[in-house]
Amino acid sequence: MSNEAQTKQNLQGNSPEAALRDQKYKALKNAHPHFLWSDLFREKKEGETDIIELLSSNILFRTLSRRELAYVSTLVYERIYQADEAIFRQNDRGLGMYMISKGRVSIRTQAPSSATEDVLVTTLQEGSFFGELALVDPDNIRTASAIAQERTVVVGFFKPDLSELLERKPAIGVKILFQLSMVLGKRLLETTEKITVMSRSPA
Amino acid sequence: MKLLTDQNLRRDFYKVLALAMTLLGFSYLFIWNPTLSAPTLSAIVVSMILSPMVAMIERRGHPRALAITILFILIGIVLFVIGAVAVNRGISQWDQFREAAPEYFNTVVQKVQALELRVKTEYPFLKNIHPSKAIVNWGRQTGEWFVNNGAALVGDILTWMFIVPILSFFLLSDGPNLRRRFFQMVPNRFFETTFGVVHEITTSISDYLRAKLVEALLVGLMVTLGLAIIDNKYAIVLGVLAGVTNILPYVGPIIGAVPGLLIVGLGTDSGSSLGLTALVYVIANVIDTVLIFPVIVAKLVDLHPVILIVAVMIGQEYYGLVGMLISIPIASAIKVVVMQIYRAVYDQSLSAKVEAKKNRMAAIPFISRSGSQAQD
Repeated sequence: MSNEAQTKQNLQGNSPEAALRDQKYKALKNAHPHFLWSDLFREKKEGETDIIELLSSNILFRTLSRRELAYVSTLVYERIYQADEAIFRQNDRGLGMYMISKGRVSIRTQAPSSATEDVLVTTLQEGSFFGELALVDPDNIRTASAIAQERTVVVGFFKPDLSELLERKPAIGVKILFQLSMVLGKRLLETTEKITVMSRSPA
Repeated sequence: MKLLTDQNLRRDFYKVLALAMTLLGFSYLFIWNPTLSAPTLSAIVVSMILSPMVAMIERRGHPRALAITILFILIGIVLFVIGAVAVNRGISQWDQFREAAPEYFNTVVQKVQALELRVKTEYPFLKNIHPSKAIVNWGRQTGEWFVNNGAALVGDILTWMFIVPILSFFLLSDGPNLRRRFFQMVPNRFFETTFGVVHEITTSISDYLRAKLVEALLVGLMVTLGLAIIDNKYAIVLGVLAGVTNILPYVGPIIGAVPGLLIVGLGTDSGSSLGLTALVYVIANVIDTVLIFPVIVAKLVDLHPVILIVAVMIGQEYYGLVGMLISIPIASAIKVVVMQIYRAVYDQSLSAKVEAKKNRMAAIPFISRSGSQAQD
């Protein structure tokens, strides 16, 4: 069993507070029982993603203002995957991160022993994100496959767009990079702790 | 797992089909259509060259449309100033050059005729070859072409002056949006690869264009300055010619030097000596080859010289001057695509990386074992 995979599972940005805020947001969105009101104030059609909402609930974009989020939302790509369709496969070249807007994504790795058999590492729910290391890694190779488990809507944010952002709107880019380095740092910390514990335990 | 994924094969096929048709439609409208091809390509070139400047203005917090407007106004002012000062001088030089051109031509013909006569008296078997007649014919045809097509040429230039700025403006303001639309049409299984490849291609093309433009400007400037120092009357025209022909790899600098050397060499009153003129061209090209080219252009292109020459010739054949400028970046774009396909099919660097990672992973239990031994 690979340590890397377990770390990945434990370190997804899927904190309870985020879930709570999601819940609150959903409750607010359904707060108008009268159909007239809901029709008047609904900005998007049912089934479409509110990308700005999704971004603002993500840790990487949390510190951005509403206006900055609107700018970033013109740089991300909304993609729809059917059940069992791969978002990316292990050993592909990676270019960016994906945030799950709707649906579930399973993360799988090839077992070291056999080249064909996949091992389920974890299942990610709405609101979590994956693949963010590809945003900064110069020659990223995906360490696992990401497969949609049902009809899944993801929002992708890619390295060329991040560089473009840093070029044109450095203030926004720096905020995202700071949050990104925080996430990566946290993961490193947890990995270090885990390795420390493992190396101390008797063989 | 693989079988299940292939349920989406039909959908992806239709998506690729739709994508291909959209691309073909756009290229049919803008690139294969002879009235729009050259202005469109020029507009693409212009917008790629201007885009970093737009980014620079945007960085100061202006929205994109405003940034582009500011840039266009600035360029307008600069062009106006140049028009008022330098081009006047350049055009008068051009007029002089044009008036003197028939004279140069006649001198060439006379000299060739004299040479022909001398050679033919010495070698009678050459009497069926008529180089001077060929030159006269060529000259007459060129003249006729200008007389017949001059009006159309002016019309073309006016269309360009109107269309190129408009197209460039919209490419700069809506380009990112167009790109997004394009990527949204790409089927899921090719999405990230296409995204990466297209980005790599556009980056390499715009980097190349910018580098080449800077190089041409510098060479043109050096030649103009050098010729001005040795008091050549046609310094600006010859400098511009040297800059423009510099776009061609290998043969460009030679072609650029020919008019200058010919004018001086034919003994007309250009006001400078042949040796000094040649020295100016040589110095400018040595600086170009030794300093400018390696620093700003060479690292961007790694195509075989033969491929470069062939690409330039094909580009010139279909799209003229703009074609020559964009042929090499397009050739390198094709190379990027082919490399990606090669990598996807043969996977050497990738499999090497995966192998290296496997080795690293395999080394981990060994390390921890030795660690526990050390604890013992």
